[in-house]
Amino acid sequence: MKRTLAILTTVALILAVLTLPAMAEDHEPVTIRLLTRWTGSDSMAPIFQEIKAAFTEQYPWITIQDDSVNEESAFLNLLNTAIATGDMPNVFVLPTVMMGLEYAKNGLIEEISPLFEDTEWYEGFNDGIFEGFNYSSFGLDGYYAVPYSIGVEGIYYNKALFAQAGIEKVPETMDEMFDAIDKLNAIGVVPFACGADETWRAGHIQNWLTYKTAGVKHTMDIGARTAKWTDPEMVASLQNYMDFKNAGAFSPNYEGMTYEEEKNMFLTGKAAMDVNGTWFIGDCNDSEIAADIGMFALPYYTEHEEFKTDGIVYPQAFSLDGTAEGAEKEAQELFVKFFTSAEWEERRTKEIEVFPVRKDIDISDISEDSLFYQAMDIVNNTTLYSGDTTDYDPVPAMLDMVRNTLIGMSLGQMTPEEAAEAIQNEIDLNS
Amino acid sequence: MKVNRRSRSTILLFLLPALIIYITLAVVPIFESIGFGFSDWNGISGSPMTFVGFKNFVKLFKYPLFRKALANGFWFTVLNLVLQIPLGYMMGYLLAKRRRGSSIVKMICFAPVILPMTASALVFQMIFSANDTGVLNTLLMSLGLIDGPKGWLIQQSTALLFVIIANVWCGFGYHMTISYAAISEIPVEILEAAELDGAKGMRKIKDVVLPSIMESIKISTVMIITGSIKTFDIIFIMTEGGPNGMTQVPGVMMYNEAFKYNHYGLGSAISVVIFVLCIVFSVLSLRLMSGRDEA
Repeated sequence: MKRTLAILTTVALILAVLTLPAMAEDHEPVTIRLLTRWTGSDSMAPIFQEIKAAFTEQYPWITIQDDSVNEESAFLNLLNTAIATGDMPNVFVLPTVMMGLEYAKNGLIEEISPLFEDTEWYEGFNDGIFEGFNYSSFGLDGYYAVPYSIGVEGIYYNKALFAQAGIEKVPETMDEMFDAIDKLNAIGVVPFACGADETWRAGHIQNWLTYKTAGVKHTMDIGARTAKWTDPEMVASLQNYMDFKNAGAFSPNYEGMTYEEEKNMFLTGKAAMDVNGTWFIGDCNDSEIAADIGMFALPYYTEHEEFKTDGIVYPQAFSLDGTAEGAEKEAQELFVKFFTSAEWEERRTKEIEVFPVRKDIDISDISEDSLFYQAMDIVNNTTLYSGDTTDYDPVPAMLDMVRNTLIGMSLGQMTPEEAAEAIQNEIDLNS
Repeated sequence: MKVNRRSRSTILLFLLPALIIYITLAVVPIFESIGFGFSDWNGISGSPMTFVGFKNFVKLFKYPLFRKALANGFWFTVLNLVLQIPLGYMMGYLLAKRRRGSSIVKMICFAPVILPMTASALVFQMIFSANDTGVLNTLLMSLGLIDGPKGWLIQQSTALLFVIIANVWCGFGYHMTISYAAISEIPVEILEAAELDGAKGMRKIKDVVLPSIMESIKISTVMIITGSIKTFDIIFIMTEGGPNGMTQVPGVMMYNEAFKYNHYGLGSAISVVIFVLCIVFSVLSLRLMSGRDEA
């Protein structure tokens, strides 16, 4: 019996060894290029490496060339050059949904609805999650991205510093927030870490103050050109940013500080708060002050209670090369399905607490008082959301324009009225 | 020397590969860029390019940011000229005069020229950093000259100036070398004769040295003017033209419009303006200096 078992095991092993190359030989060797921002200190970087390794093990005929860069402008430069030359990466992440529309119209992004035929994979996603990538209302039928997460923005805070400053509860309204800023300044603690040398950092704070002053809908209307930046609500939102800065929310010269410096400032307990997305949870959990970090929803203005549940949520998704054909197309689809499979979605959620987009995963062992669930509370209490205030704007320069103007205003180069006019002028020049 | 038809053909044959590479990589892109400047293209492969005449140029001069970029470009050029030439030529003169230890000084001053601009710019970014760990801030605070950290690269009054300081440091060594070579070439007899005639110190420099190295000064001037008008790398790395366009120059704006905002027509129009400005200012400066020469 033992002998028979040994022979069978040996035969099985030999067969397995022989079959693997045969499986690979059945397929044409192919290389796919990936372009994301998951490198360096990004909390997604380690698991991304693992996913790539597991993928190439499972599909040995596919080679992955990872062109990812962490720095935002370097990433955008690579992406724009690829789009201009038509030499597209196979799998890439677009910063906004609107950005993909023109590319999709020119056939540079793959229409992914045929992937839905794999029902086991497709039906595991949250209901309606693909609708955010449906361009039908913009005159283009189909779905153009595969979601892998959503980024929810809130305020990370240091509980120990709050206690030291005598702040008993997290601020729910802007009046309470200004009160907290005063108390933190009184004990010599910087209220908000912000590395606005990378303008998106100030931009995210402006997103918050704009959505709570003018509402998400107003920024959508600007994109549709039925509203303007010079509308009183938008000017008020810029004035609110200045009031926030002038109240002592930031450290001196925050306009010259980098994001790395900002993170370091918050994670070493030198600043009490940080406006950031759920992608920051991994950094927080890895820090020495992890136990002291909590998260709460973006406070609202009591005079604009109608915008209390407006919030910032970034849909995060993969776009696929629309020019790829044959084995290359098949390989890029395989990678995206592998990355967004329930197994890896569950691991990402558990290990770095990114927000899942699948319902067929078990996350019951994530602690209920974790940052993940605190962020979950925020998203559950958000009724209308968007990413950046320019996400619905068809002019590609607007994101930079708004952020640069914001910094100019913060440095005293212009008033909120002048800033609003400068931004609107950019739209008018490009319309 | 007479060159017969056969040797002329041989010369042409040897020149041909270099000529083909030069035309393909330098001349064709210039004309292509001029063509893009008169077109509208959204930077998406496969989308049509339409001819729009002078629309991009009209739009450009309506742009407040472009006017700001031109003004910054002007000051960047002027300050680089008035700082790099006197500094480089003074160092060159001193080195040519005192040979002892000159090799070490030459090496130190020339080192920034051979360093990649990216490395130099990143070093200066750290030196001028706005926080209290910035080298300049730390130094000035320890000397008690400032109370707290200053945002050298974010304040309107200092941002452009500090980028220019970094650029001067990176470039003056090159002009020092040019001047050193030119001054070393001046025959000793001429300098001795001038001294015998009573020309010493500043008078010797003004009446003998400067006229003798005028051709080198012209070369340096044209190089600084063209280099400054089309400057890109140091500003892009140190400030990206910011904050809010404070250090914006046409080269960086061209890059942003073309590659960041997908306005390829507008970006190319800026490159045409840079090209024209380089030619106009080079010719003007050469004319001015030739006029002074003849006088």
